[in-house]
Amino acid sequence: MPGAGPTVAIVRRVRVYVEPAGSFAVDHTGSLHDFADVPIAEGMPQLTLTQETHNPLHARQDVRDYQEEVIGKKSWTLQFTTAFAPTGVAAGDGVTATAGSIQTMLKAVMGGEFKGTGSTVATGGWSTAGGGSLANAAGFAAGGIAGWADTNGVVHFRPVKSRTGATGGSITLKVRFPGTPASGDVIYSGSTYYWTQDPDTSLQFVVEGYEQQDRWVLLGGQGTVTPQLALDGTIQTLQWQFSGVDWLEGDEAAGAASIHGTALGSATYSNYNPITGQSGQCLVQTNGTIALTGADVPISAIAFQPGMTYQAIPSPSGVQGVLRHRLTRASGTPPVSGSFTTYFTGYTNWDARDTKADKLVFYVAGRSAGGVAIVDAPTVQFTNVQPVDSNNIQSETVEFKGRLDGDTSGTGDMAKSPQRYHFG
Amino acid sequence: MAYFTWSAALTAIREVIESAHGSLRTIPAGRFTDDLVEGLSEDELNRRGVRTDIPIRVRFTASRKNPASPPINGSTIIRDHDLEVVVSRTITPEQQADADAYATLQALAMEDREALEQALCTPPNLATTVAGTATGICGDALIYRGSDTRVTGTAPPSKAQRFETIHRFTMTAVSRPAT
Repeated sequence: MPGAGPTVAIVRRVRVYVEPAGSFAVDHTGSLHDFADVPIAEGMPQLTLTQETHNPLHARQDVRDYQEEVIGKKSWTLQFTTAFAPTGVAAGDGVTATAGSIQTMLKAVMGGEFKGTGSTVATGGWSTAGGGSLANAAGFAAGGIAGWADTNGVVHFRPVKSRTGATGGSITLKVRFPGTPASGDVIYSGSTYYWTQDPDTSLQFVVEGYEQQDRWVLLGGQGTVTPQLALDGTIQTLQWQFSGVDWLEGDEAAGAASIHGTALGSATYSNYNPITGQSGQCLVQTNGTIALTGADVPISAIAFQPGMTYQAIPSPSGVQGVLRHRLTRASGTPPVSGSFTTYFTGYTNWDARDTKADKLVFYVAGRSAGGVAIVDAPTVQFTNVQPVDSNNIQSETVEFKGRLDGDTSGTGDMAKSPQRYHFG
Repeated sequence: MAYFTWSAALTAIREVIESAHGSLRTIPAGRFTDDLVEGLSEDELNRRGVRTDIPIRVRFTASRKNPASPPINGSTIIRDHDLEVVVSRTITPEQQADADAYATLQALAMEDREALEQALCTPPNLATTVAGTATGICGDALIYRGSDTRVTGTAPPSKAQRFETIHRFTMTAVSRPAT
């Protein structure tokens, strides 16, 4: 009988739903069509279902005896890996960026999402490679991205410093394109995920195995995401770590009829276009300097580490004693830190450390529209620079710590965010 | 699509090698020909290896699961496929006897390696075929893994030999099976 034990562990399905603010840990499986399949890496997830039990504290009158423990509160943790995958949809002229479940989770974790719409260069073209007028600039925003394909078909994405107007409006880039876009050239937009001060949604998962009772509903979750950016041609990944406040066995859920005791359904991933990580670009430039010369850094390694975490807010009137999750940051911990390694060329990075220069670190994976994923730390300080041997190439590793974006026009969350993910 | 677009992927790879396909770091047409076919005699292989359009062959050698691939019941399957490009240059009697001539041959063989790596590993050269069919190759390029050389063929005095270079690449492919 299909789905009867013993079954294999690698055939699994994970679906996700974003619990709106005010619906923390409310079982939504009665509307399963609202859940989206998550393209977890095979062999994932790692799931822990905790049901606390506690000693009732009364003494026994026989040394060989032990108290029957009291059932306590529930909690869960869920870890899995997904590809750091673009959507496969190019936000070209008049096309709005799309989102898959990876982007859905990023929005819930970080709080902010911007889905841009591409346009074309206005009649007359740009006078510089650093920005200019568009047929319609409404689909771009400060803190977002803009991309342009050179004559070889290679698409170059840049962070947007500012945008003014809509029809006939213009954008200014933080770093120039390698050429000057001509009249009618497509300027791609993309989607951007950024930190807000108080993300107030939470995540709900349905985790299913091949065995027909291996079905779990996880409620009231939040977590962190860390990119793993291998540059050797393997697929770069996002490492997700969630924890939550309540869980249900499949037959206890509102959608039990569709979850429990049924054959495992096929997972359908939308807007999911995995890419390999050997090609792309890393831009490191001083804030306020638009030159491309010197900004394209040939890195052999790069890493970003988020410093933002979630704290469960206790409340006896909450779910399992938790009112909701609150975004926080440990004192002394930057919202984003990281490092990159490049071959040794001189004292430039040591000098930047000494002068406390504000720097942009903008790592782009992929070279085609619809096939680009970006990690953006817009304003960082180099805190440690060391000479290193990188596979017998004399190199230097630069460690950095980030803070609010000081180089983007605007005062909104997207413009100020200390870290962003973009998909172009 | 149910299966990976194997035909388009192989077509694009061969077009990049033989027909200057691609937009950046392309190989001039006529440098290589997919002509290192199986079943040829030693003499025929030696004859082909002295032409200006050097014979090559593309062969898939191994496949395996990509660690980032979702579970098999999903709508996306990611697999890594190793392939090799074999390039065969004939070692003429002059090159067998003259160290300078042999060095010239080796230099050309190593230049073959670089030409193949630059063209096959630069996106978006493998995004589509010449006819415009999307290949589905992940990242629109191959990943270079390394090269080996070997001298093959019957020893002199009566026969030429061949200086073969084997260039290894990995192609990551995304399949979209029915769900």
